[in-house]
Amino acid sequence: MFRVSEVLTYLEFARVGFVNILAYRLRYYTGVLTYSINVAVYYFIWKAIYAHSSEIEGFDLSDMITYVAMGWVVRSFYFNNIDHDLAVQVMEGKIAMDLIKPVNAQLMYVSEAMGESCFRLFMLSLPTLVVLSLVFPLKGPADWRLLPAFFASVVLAFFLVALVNFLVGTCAIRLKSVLGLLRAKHFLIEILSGLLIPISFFPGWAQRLMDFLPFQFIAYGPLLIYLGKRDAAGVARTLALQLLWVGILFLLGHLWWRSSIRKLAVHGG
Amino acid sequence: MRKHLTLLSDYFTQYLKVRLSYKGDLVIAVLTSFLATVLALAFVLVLFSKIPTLQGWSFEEVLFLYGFSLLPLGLFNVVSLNLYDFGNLYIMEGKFDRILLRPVNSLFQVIFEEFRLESLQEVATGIAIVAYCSVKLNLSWRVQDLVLASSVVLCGSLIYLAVFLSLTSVSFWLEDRVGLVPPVFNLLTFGRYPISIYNGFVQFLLSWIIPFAFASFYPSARFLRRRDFDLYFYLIPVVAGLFFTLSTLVWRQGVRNYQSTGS
Amino acid sequence: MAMMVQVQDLAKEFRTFRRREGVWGAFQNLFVREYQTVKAVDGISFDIAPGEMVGYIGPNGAGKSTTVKMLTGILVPTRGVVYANGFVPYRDRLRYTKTIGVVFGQRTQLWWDIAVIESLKLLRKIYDVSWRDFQERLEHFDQLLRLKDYLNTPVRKLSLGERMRCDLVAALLHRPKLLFLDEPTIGLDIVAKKNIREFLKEINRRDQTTVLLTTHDLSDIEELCQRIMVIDHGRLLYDGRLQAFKEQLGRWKQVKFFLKDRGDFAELESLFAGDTLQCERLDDLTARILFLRDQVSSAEVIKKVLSRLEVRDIAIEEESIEEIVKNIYQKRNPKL
Repeated sequence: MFRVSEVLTYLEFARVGFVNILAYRLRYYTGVLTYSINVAVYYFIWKAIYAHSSEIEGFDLSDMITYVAMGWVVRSFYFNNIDHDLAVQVMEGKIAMDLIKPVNAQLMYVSEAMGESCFRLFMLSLPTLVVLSLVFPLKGPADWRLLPAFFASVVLAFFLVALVNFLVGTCAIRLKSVLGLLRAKHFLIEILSGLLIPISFFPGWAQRLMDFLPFQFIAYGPLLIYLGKRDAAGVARTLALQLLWVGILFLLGHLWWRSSIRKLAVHGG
Repeated sequence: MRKHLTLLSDYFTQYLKVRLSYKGDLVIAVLTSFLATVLALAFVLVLFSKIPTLQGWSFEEVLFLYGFSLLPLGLFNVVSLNLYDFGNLYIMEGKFDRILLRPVNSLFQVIFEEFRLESLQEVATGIAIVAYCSVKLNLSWRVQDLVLASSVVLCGSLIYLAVFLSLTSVSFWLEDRVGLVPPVFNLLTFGRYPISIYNGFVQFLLSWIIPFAFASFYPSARFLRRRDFDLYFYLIPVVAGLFFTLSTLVWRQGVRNYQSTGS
Repeated sequence: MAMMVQVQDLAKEFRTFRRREGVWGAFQNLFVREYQTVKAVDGISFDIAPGEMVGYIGPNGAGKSTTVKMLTGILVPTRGVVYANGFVPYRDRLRYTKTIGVVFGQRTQLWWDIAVIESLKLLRKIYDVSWRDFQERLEHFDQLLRLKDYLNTPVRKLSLGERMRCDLVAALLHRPKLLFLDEPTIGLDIVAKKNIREFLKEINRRDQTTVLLTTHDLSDIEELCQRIMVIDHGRLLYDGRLQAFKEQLGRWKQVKFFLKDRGDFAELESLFAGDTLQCERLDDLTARILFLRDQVSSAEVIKKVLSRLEVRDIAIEEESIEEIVKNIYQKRNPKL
């Protein structure tokens, strides 16, 4: 198990992540705007769609607007750049610096991202939520008692994203130009997480396929809890599956990193 | 002018040499780039499995909009790489010094020093989508239509270049690695849907402030035989020329303000 | 004779903001920034004649780079006049840069991923050098620097010394009348340094190339330049012949003593108490005695010390260029 001093080390990484992010000043001034624009695009699209039907797949217009808006608010919290940071470290040949630190790289990157996300919560997610609820007609949580479960689910979503990003970022060690892969992953997560469109809108075969993937627990899972479209058993199931995926991705990341840096040691950085 | 053209071909040849020396890597880059293009389309595909039309626009028409929007964007993406990273690479790390020491237009160097070859994939995908939809929608293309389409596509690229160049120039004044590009980059998505679904404010924004509609929607509407937007169609070259001129002025002012703090 | 470089009352001010430290400080930076104006170059004037080789020195942050950047057209001056080779650098940039060469020792001007020869061929076109001139010059440079061995290697794979040679060639390909060198020998071994200095001398002799050289390495200047300019805090402190500079200002000398015991320092200090000499402690077991060359000789100092103490070792050193500069600066501001 971890010793206290080790946990403190990773907390330090979290603090560094927190301070680092402050250096990107403009990103936070414009961040609220960026997220609001994204919500606006989909708001108009859904409004046009619901002009002709009052309900699709159990979602009415106000459900859908809330779904989209809360989806982007949640995304502003769980989002991180681990994949990109890792790739840049590799491209600039600085990855060796990570290797000589006596810490677990995966935990280090996730801790830094955690610090970042704490910062995003206050500087980005909450302001965005305020702006969005002023501009768009958003619904409150369907059941206030489920709010803790929703928060827990969002935190688990953060870990899912961070671990996926670590996995993809590590590919930079083996590939020269990994930026295309990162972009593809970006779109893959946007669509398969259910951020852009609820998973229940997908054709049946796609839904069955996605049951074997972790992505729907990034946005779709937490958002259904918020909208009250999951009963108690469903909520428990979502949380349990999220935990399971965190475990699996953690293990995969660990193994993938270990085998990748061995490659690095052989070929030289 | 001739010097610049030979230089452009030299820059490009050098880039190709480096790029082709890692063939496997180039293949992966093209494939992942293609995957990203298709995934960006997934929303429309899933959506239309549930609805017949989007405010009177059929699936093929919306698909056409997306396909056509890829043409100017893909061309722009081939040369835009350094614009996205400008604040970081050129300003914060001082690479712009080197640009200014050479007797060649600074903007020319920044744009053509690096390419993103795999973005040509977007142009190809765009053409394929437009062709598919044209068949489905019974749209015929005469030679003069093709000439017209090519010129508005070039104007579209110029509009993208103008918008992102102006934003990039902001890095000369504000020291920031990210800059103002992300929020505007997100506006690109707006241009892929029928402009009539938006409210007046967004329509105005997309036409006259950040004129992405002139790069993708207005040209597509014309080729889809939607005549309500014809007036806008004829304004495309004017808007492109105007915004591009403005952006080069902003750039020039920025260069004068360059502080060369990196190193 | 027309001057190659004319600078009058040249100044550059930067607006920077003060970064606060810590988490809370970073938070404050997000919203409120305290700006301050830094005078990097604060009104300097000088002329350089064609064919001169001038050393430009000063401590880090003194304004050296900023001056060079204004002279090369990278920065627009806040005030003052610059003429170089008949141009106003920032205004006539495209025509002016064709007539100058620039080498930054810390950063290569070549393309990182492509072979040196490809970089040079690109530069040939950028600077409109004819194919014949290009070949001829490359041949000549090869004789002086022996380039052929690595012309086909990408820049990123070159050693620092090889890279510097290539950078010099790249900067001289178009036979510039004016050459700016910023730390051209930094990080190089002695052989490479010597090679590059010989090369620069040859270029200056053959083509009458005017050279402005900034460096930390005094021996570069001693080898190459007859004239030096010293800058600190954005102002020129000295502009004149190198020899005169050293005679007038380099009057201090130092002897370093490597002590056997920590306690010996007190002894040493008491030895020179009340003298005009300065006794400084550098670390636990090292001390130095600073004295004026024309008042005391090193032999006297050493004799005095050895009569009382046993030491491990002794080193006699001339004053370094940085120290001379520091001394001039202290003379201007007696309080410091």
